[in-house]
Amino acid sequence: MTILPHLALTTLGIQALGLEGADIALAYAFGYGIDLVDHPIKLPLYTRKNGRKNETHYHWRTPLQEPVALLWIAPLSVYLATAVPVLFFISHFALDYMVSYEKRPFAPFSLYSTEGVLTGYSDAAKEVVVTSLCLAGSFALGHRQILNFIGGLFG
Amino acid sequence: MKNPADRALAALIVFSHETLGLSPNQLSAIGLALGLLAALLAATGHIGAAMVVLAVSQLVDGLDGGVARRYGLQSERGRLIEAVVDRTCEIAFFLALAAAGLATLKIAALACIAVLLVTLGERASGFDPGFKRFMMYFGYALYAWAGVPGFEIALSVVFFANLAGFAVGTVLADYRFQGEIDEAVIVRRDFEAGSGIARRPDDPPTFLSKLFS
Repeated sequence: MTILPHLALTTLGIQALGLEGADIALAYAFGYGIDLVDHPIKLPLYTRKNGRKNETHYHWRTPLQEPVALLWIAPLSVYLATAVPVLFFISHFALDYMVSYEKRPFAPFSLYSTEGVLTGYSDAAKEVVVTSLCLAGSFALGHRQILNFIGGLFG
Repeated sequence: MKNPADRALAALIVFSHETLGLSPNQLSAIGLALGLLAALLAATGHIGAAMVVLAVSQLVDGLDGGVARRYGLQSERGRLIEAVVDRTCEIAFFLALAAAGLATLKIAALACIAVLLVTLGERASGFDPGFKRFMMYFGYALYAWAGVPGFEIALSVVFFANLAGFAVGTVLADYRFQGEIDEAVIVRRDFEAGSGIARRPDDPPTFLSKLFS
């Protein structure tokens, strides 16, 4: 999925779990930030193949954001004594597996590839629904703080 | 001999194979026995002696591969035996440090997991950060001379280095695979262009591709 649903779901998760301090940073790192590291890695390959032209379904993903990454994220979570990296990483790839581009969940150990789940629905519709639900959830959980913040701006 | 370790150990490699008649697998077995002895010594609190035996086991460990390479005795089975022996010695030593109270069981177990992950990924990625046993000497130096929990620090370094090594290794392997897929497409596209075959239309440009073109 694109930036917005990942950010919205991560924010909702942080609110729902009442995370504080370093856990918030870990949540954004594994719920969203992993995308920022992952996609630039294949940029040299993309430009070699396509130059500046668009290839809509190019395989940008690396194993850093596939389920296989749980093999290193789970021990890291144990070391840090917090389940936040595992939980938010699962939320990240769960969203990605709802949209239809190619995924290689076990790469490089298996080259099995899949388009994920709910492939019969439009990707854009899924993005809108997920983002709307997450934003509504965030507002429901944090409406008092939001209203106080807005009130503070004018008070 | 291309391998620098083989050059440094050339005399010992010749001595162990030609004079003592030891095969690479026999040397691996001796390395395993010494590695386990080092772990036993560490677990029973004789950490100084354990480090000496660990160093000898590492030396023997360097000889098995050296003999195999020098005398053309390399085999897939030998490589597997060497990997099993190395991992067994390392894991036994890490857990022995926990048993002796020189490191927590948590970090010892995590270091074992990270080392096994790198071994799992190495076949696909060809990447192993190494230096696992060298870190034990570093840990001992910190413990003996600086009075700090050196083995805890050393095992943390082993854990993070190997965990990062595994993650980077998976990315490298996938990058190579993607490169091969792309290369095949580029070759086919060039062939089709050279043969006058009409090429598939480009995907419509996106906002970003418009911005950068």
